Amino acid sequence: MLPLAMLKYLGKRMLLLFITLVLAVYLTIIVANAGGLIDNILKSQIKYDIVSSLVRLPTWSELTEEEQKRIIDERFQMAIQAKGLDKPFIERTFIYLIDALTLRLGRALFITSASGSKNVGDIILERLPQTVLLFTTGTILYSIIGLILGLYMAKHPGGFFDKAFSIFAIVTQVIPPWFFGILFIMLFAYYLRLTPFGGMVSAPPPNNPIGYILDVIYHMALPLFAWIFSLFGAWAYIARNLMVQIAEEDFVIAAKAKGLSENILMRRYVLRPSLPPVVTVISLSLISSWQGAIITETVFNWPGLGTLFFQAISSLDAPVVIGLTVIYAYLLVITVLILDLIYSVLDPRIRARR
Amino acid sequence: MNVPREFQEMTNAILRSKAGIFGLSIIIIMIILSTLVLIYVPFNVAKEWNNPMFWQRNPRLALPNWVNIFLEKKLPETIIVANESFRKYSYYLETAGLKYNVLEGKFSYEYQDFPSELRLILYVDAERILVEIKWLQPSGINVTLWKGFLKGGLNSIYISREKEVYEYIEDSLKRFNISSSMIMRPEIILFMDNNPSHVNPTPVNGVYMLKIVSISSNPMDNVDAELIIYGKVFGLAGTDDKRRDIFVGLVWGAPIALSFGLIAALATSFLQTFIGSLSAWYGGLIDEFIQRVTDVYMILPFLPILITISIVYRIDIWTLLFIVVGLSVFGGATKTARSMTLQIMTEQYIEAAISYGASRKRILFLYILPRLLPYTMANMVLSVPSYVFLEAALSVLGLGDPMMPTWGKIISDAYSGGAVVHGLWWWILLPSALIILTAISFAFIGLALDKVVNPRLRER
Amino acid sequence: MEEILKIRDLKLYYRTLRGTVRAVDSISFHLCKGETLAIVGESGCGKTSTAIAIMRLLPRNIDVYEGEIILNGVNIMQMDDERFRKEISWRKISMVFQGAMNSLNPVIKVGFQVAEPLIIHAKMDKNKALSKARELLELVGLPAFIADRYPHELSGGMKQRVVIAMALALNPSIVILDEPTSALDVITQANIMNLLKKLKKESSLSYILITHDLALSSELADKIAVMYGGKIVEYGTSEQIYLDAKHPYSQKLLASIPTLRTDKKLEFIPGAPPDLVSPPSGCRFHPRCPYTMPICKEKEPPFQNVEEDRYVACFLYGG
Repeated sequence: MLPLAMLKYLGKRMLLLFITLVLAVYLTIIVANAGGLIDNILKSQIKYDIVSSLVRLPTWSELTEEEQKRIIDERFQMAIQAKGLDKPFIERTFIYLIDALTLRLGRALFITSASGSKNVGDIILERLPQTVLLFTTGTILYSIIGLILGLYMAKHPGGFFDKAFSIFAIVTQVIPPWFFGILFIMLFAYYLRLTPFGGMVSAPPPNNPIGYILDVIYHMALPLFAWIFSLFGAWAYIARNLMVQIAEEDFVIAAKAKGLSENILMRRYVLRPSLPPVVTVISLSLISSWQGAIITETVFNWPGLGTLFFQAISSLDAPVVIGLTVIYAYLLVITVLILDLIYSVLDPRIRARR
Repeated sequence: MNVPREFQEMTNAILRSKAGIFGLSIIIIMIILSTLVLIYVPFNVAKEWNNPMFWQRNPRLALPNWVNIFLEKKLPETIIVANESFRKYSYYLETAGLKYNVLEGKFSYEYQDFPSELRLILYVDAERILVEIKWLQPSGINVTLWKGFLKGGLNSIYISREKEVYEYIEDSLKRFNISSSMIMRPEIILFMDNNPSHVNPTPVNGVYMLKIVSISSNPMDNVDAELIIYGKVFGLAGTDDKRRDIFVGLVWGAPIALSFGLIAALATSFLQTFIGSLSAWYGGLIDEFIQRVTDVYMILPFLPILITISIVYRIDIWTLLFIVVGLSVFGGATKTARSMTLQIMTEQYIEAAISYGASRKRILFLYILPRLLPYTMANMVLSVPSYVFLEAALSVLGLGDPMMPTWGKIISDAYSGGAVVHGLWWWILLPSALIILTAISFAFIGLALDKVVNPRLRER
Repeated sequence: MEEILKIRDLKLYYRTLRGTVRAVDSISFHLCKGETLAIVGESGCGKTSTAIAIMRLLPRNIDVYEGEIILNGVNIMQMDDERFRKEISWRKISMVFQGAMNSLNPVIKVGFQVAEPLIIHAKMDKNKALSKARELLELVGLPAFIADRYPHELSGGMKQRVVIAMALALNPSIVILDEPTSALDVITQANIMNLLKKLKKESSLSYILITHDLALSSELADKIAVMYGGKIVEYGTSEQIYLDAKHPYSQKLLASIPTLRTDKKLEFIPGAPPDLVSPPSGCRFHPRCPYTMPICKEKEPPFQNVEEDRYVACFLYGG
């Protein structure tokens, strides 16, 4: 059904993204294991598993210490061989690579998920939805606001709003969202007492679903605001520049000659053709957004991946940190993939032969 | 060579725009102030940033002293009655064979507000000595603070905090028929007047005296004292929860932030442009390879990898810098530099240079790279703020250099020290203001430079 | 013949960093029904600006825009923008732009772009408009399925035909063609010219053809207006101009065209086109004219009626 060229384009992109994913994860593994960290973590996990399963055996306590030790060592060596941990460094890294890519991320050292699991995958998955909720909402909102404002400014270039806004855009561009977060918490939570200081729900959370949702929205308001405030300015300005450029293209003047109204002109002949490059720009900024989200979440104590990062750092829980890095690699790759899809839909030039 | 012309174009652009002048002047002021203050706040002070003993004579969480300009009820500054200020005398009680050492420290208190803490440091040169500490208010009320044995060495009595002291004070006041029925802190009780209403207490101004009497049988025994009456304001930027003078941190944070930001921005910017240009100039497989590597680089989870590295290895700020540059070497500017180079390559004088036999390397360095200079500079200036904030972000996460007092560290300490929750505005807002000012200055200079690089954005 | 368009003292000045560009400096001409008027001149002489002035496609930096544009007896200069857009744009006068490559919206299908004026102005419903669009495409010699293509899928010649179809959508009285073939190869050029001739014959369209190619205009033009330095220097029927050009500039233009059958010494015009910010004093052509007289430097020659429907602005013919 889909045109062949579009599939070719998407196929090429997916290959590139896959390679990127593999390289990112592999790089993480090499870095983390250069000092043998992953080896140690895995080995102690294996040993722990062996010992805890043996101790449960009813006959265990009857054995002498040497015998216990002998059995443990035997099993340990077998497990190591089975996992391939006695192989040389490079091979080991590949084993870890496959594990990581399939999201077998091991167990955390200190952190436990709310459901009691120490499995890194569980811990991360538990926090993932909150992050996605906050930042996807924020990103969609600021993109739309930015586009609308950009369109308005493209209609009146050089006007007062245009110039004043450019100062705002510059200032908010250099200051990251988390920084605004700290300042806004001070302003809105401490001085104005309008919003909570952080977190996602009050303690104790309301037990009816509507109350719960409202509570979440109440807590989401300030981080969302800080996020949007920080990012919509620069974005609107980029959109404005793109659209001003397109508004000077010949086909726009030709369309004006056709007697089309200002509205239709702007929508169909300026906004619509600028969407493909807009998506390209969004793609790049989204990547850095996801990473900036780590600090922003920490600042607002929002229970997502970012705060998990912070907790893992504070407690030196290396498996969780490594697992999170892998997940972020996935997140970024998926984001770019989705945007590539959207781009190919928006730009018909991709769909036909190049 | 073409370079001087490029520089002139850029300086012109900066000086011609209002934003550029603003930004440039702020940076210059900062550099001048930094150098001046670096002379006055020597490094050995900054070195002690993590040494709590160094700062112990500062009040905790004190506001900046210029706050008093705006207040009617002036907040007090710290008063230290040093050992030398104590009047010392001793007398013997022959019959008991005891030596009485008396230390009398007087100070005048003229503030309208109470001190934040009181602390008495006693240096006991004996094995064991019996001590009685009394506090004399200007009104004549005499309060016993403490009675008991002290061991040899350094003894620190936190008058404001110790329960024993509080009980002693209560006892003393009872004898004067003053009921301290309201629970009050010692530093307030000791200074306030004894009007029975206890509402809105104000400190009594006048001369106070601290009398320390130590009794021992050994005539060689000696006691020295130092009384610290901690104020509520300190210095130009106040203090943090570890009593550190925030001004020192701010001032030393400046060169660190600037150098980190500038070096990172400089290195990344130049390297990216160079690689992009190289890619276009040599073309072919090199081009393909560099392009693919750049594509991959741009999707790498930069910050998580950085965090992983920081967790696994303890790194200091300069290693961090190196890694950051390494992880950013193939970035967005690579692509732009490449397309700019491709355009330049089509120009005739490049063809001419090739035809008269100039080596490819020579052409690249002499003709092409200088043309890219304005873009590189604009890019560099615009990316300085993000590196300054990156360092701050890592500090907030707890990964920054633990030794140096950077702005990021101060902000992160403030945040985790509850500055936001408790409204300790000076701790958060002063370093924030400095970071923001720095960032905006660079952004404005970048904006001015952008007009040179992007003539399309100029008004027609 | 019925006069449908009369231009009187049309002025269009732009504001630029260098100063005011007097692109169209008080020109006058008229067009009759079924007639083709070719406006001929070098690049930068103000031909395209004339089209912009008639279509009211004014850019942001307009300084002066005045004169009379009388269409079917109504001075459309005096209409407000909204009325102009609804009644005149594309309905009465449409335009084929220079460089059809860029005249089409790259992200919208071609058929829709042709149908768009029908939807907007004629209030047709979408399907009816699209089928009419397909008819129009066939009219200009394109297969109907082209309507579902995007601009980048078409060749230059095909795009040019689409743009012509688009211009005809509302059955306008006048179609302005700005260099309709300059970006095309010679064969496609011939095809397009044939198409234009055919359309002219079949529907008695009036064209204003703007071109620098004097030879090309001979194919279609009934009347020719020669422009120089923002002014019309000569006006007459194509026969009169080709066989008996009066203005020295027109003569030089004709002399520079190579002929197929006779041997001709090709001439060129020395000098450069005038700077429209500060044009030469008096007659704008005087620095390059072989017949300059002292008065040419001082006074601008009036646009004189030397014969019936024949005008020249040159002191050689009085004034």
